[in-house]
Amino acid sequence: MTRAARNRIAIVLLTSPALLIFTVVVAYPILQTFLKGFYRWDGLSTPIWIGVRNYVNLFVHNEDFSLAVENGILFVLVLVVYQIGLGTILALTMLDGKLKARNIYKAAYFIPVVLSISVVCQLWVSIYSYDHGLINSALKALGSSFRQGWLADRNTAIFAVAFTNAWQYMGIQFIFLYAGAQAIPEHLFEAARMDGTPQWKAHVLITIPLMAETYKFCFILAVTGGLQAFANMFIMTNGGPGTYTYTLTFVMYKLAFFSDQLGYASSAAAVLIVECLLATILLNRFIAREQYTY
Amino acid sequence: MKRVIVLISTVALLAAAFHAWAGGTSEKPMSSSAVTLHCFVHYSEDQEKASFNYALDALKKQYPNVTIAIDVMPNDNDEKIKTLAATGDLPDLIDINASLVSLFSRSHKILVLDPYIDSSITSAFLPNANPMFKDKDGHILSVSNSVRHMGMLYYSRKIFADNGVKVPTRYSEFLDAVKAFHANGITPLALFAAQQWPAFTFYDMLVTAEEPGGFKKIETGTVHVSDKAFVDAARKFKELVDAGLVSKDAFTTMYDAAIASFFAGQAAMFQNGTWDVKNIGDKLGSDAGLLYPTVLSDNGGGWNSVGGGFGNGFSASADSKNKDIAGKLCGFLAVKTIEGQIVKNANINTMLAGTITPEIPYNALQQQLANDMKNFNVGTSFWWGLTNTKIQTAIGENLAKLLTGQYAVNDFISQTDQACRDALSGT
Repeated sequence: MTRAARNRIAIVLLTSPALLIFTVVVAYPILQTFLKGFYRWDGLSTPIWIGVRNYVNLFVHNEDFSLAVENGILFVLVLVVYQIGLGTILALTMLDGKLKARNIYKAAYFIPVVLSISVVCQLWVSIYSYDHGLINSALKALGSSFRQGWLADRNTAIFAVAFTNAWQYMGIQFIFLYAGAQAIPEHLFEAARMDGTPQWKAHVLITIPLMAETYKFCFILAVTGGLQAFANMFIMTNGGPGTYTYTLTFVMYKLAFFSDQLGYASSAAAVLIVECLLATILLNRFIAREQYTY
Repeated sequence: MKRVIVLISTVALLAAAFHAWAGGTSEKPMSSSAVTLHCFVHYSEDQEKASFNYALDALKKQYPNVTIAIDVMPNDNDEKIKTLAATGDLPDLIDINASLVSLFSRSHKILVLDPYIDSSITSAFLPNANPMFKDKDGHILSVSNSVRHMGMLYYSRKIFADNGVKVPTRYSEFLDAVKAFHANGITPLALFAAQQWPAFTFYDMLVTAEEPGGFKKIETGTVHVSDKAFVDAARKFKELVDAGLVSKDAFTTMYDAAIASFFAGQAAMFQNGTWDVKNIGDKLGSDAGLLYPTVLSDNGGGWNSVGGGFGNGFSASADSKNKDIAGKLCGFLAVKTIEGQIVKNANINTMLAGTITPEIPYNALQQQLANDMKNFNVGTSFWWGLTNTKIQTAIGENLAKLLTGQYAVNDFISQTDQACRDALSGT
């Protein structure tokens, strides 16, 4: 047997366990999800083929679908602005060698990440409370008569829920961005300093462009996480007020476990998979197209 | 020679093993060797444990060779039990609600209990108790394991008196009370609308003012959401919510927070089922009062109420290795669990024949309810008593949209009516 042939056999043998697990746990269920979207099925009885009726119902007759898609996009926007925006500012600030107690700051940003999501959601439900919440109480203490039902108002509910998620997981994005910034060679910053470039301009012209790969990864996390959001609205609002904090995952959950319409739920899941896939392809296409070497 | 001995002993061992295996797959009658059945049941709250433990003690005396292994039912909108059904791992005995009975019977996951329900079970119930869940052909699929409860409005006499508000006897007075409390900064009704069923029950209270069958009757197809009773109920509900009936936090409030606000004097009224009458009567004493749902009718009076119906019951898995025992135990455990609710939890007996004395005497509020219980006309069901999950989901979601302003009354009526008609026609 030639060396090349032996290598190929070795490659197949070594990768096949992982591929098998991936096929069984990921690829096959995704395929089944797409297929089951063409059936009327309650999860227990024999599925009945109905063609594209589930997809037609979803896109045309389900009035919560467009709201769910819109909420997914709004969720993504909040995550991107807060997590990546604020994460960038904090990461670049931490790069400053003169800043004291950096470890304490880093720990503080990461503490919410390790908290249970149930605890965080209950905490923010209390903060947002119309009658006794921290925000309304603070406004009252400052002499303002303004009171807001943050989770009860259809205009603010999705932002309030999204902010809870953004606040909790900002620490993860911060860690990635900080590590990405630290990986940039120091001599590039030295050169900029010798040229008299202000620090903020150095970050804009050097640090951020060279972190493109890191940003691509962070954006993919934020976008796919936002599109798939479920836990926060489930715990905090149960999709309310009305259906104003529904996302596509929530639509899928309601159809599957409340209405026993697993075929219909599978069609919603299929749309969500396509959404996330498209977002990932677009991000890969337009961010970090050039490879930098130092 | 050695080879022969080895061969003979191997054959003998295999024969013994085969005999044991074959013997193990046949059902054991109740009176023979020990058998353990798994039971998926509500077993989290103290009251649930007390009543079911009472049933298990009775089981031990009646059938000493049968042991029940408890699989605790989580509060997860039936996700776990549906998953177990899909994977073919249903426990032998299941405590399930009406919609699950319908779902599982369609997919032949539960036994038909006709051969197992004899006169020893049927005679244990009151003639009008109607404890059996039957399919459209009249076959018994489940035996109710709970006393019949009703939706109830509890109120604080002290808060009404302190705010100078008359205890209402009809809808117009109820609306006035809501406005008065709201103006005084008191939440009129503590409603834990984070779950969908409390809002549904309140809406059904408004419906039964004119249509005694309530929302349950929608499932029969003989009434429709576009009928006057339902339209009037939606209009009234919207009117009350706009007048400040519930706190803006109601839709993120769970039971514990709602009842805490009622006990703390921050809310004048509280809505729950009659299972809470002991707790509220004990806590508030003579301060606690009952507002029967007829207070929401235009003229007041009458005895139409909401709730009742088949809520939860015991069914047996069709895949149980001990079908006969499981089938027989459905009725026995159901009767004894209800008895346990009466004896241990002082629930009011609305189901069982004969006199059953609770260990704890009724408080004043319970006594009032017990005295009036025989008068109530309860023809509807709670949320979990609806068998059509599409109707259940539609009314839950659309009510939430109505109450939060996402729907006007006309939108709610037209969308819910259409969804219910589609659900009944199978589209």
